[in-house]
Amino acid sequence: MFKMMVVPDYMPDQFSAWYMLNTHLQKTADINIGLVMPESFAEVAQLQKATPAAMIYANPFDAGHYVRDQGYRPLVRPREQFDEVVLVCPADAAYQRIEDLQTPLRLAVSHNEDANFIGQRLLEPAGLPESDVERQHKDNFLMVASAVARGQADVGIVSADVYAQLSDITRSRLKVLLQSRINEISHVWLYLPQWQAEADALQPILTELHTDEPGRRILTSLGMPAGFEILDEESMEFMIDLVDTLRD
Amino acid sequence: MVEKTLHYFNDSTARTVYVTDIEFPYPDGELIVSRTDTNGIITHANQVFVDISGWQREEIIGAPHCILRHPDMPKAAYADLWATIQRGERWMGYVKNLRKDGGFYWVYATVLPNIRQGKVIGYSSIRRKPCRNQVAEAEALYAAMRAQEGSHV
Repeated sequence: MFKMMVVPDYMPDQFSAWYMLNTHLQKTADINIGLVMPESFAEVAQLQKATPAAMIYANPFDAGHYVRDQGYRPLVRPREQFDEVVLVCPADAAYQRIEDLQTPLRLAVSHNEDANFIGQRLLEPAGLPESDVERQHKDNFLMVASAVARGQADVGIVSADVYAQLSDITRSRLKVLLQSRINEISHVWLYLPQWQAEADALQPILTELHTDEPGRRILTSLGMPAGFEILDEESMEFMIDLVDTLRD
Repeated sequence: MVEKTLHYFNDSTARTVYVTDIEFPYPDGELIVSRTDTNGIITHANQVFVDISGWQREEIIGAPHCILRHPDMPKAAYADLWATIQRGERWMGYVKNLRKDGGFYWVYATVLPNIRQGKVIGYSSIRRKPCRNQVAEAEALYAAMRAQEGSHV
C-alpha cells in the first residue's frame, strides 16, 4: 500500500485538512493511499524504521537524512511558504533587541528541533554563554508562547506560522524580539524511488491544487494558500547544504 | 575614502580598492546566501547579498567572489578557506567584507563544497549576523596576521 506520512509539525486544527487532501489525491489519482499522521517525532522514527513511507512531508532539517541516507527524492514543496521563527519575550520586557539580552536567561523551546536550530542562530549576536542559558522544554509552540506570556521564561522560540495564529490576548502579552527572514528553507514532499509511478501521478495534482476552488479550500485549511511547486534535485540538495550550515 | 592595495593569496596580482570606515549594519534575522562555481565565480546571490553588498545583481553574477574582499582581511584567512573547501570540508569564520561604496560589514560565514554524486560542482557561502565580541577578537587576530604578512597598506 502507498503510505503517505505527515510529520507532526501542523497545528491541531489542520489535522482534518490533511485527510481532506488525502481524499482528494486518492480520488484524483485513483491511488489507494494510507495517510499516516504520527503524534511525535519519536513515532515517526519508529514507523520509518519498520516500513519507510512511500511519501513523506518532512521538515527541512530532517530532509537531509531522508534524501542522503534513505534515498528519498524531492517531489514538491509549498510555494512561497518558508519555515521561519520568531523570538518572543514578555510584552513588558526591558530589552528591545537581541543584543540587549543578558544572562542568566530562561529560554523556552519546543520539541521542534528545526525551529530551535534557527532560534539559536538568531540568538548568537547576543553572545550569551550557553552555560548561562536555562532551556525550558515545552511540548509545543503554544506552550512556549504561554510560558513567555506568563513571565515564566524570558525568551521563547516559536514558529512564525504558529505565532501568526495565536489569539489576540496571547499576542498582546508578547513582544516579538526578532523574526527570521531566511526565505530559503521550507517543508518538502519526498518519495521513495520504487514509487515513481505514483509520484509522477501525484506531482501534477499537487502543483495544480490551487487552480480550482475545492483545491484552494484544502490549501487554505492547510495554511498553504499558494499551493505547491515542483522541487527539483538541485534545489533540494542546496536546501540540505544550507540547513547543514545552521547546525553549527 | 582611503585607497588601498589588495594582494591575493594565490597569485601575484593586486587590485586597488577604496575603503571607508562606515560599517553597514547586518540585517537582523536574515542570511546572506551566495553560490560560486569551482573557480569562485558567483552563480547565485540572494536579495540580502545584493542589498548588503551595494552591487547590482547583474554586476555580481559572473564576478569573482573576491570582489567582496576587504584589505583588512589577511591573505592567510583566504588561503585557509580555499585549502579547507578544496579538501571537501566546510570552513567557518568571521569575515570583514567590502561593499561597493567602500564601506564594510562583518559576517559569520560558513563556506561548503556542493558535492553531487561524489563530485564538487561548486561552493555555497552562507553568512549570518556575528556576535560583536567575536568580531572584536577577529579584528585583533587579523590585524596581527596582517602585520606578520607585511601586507597591510
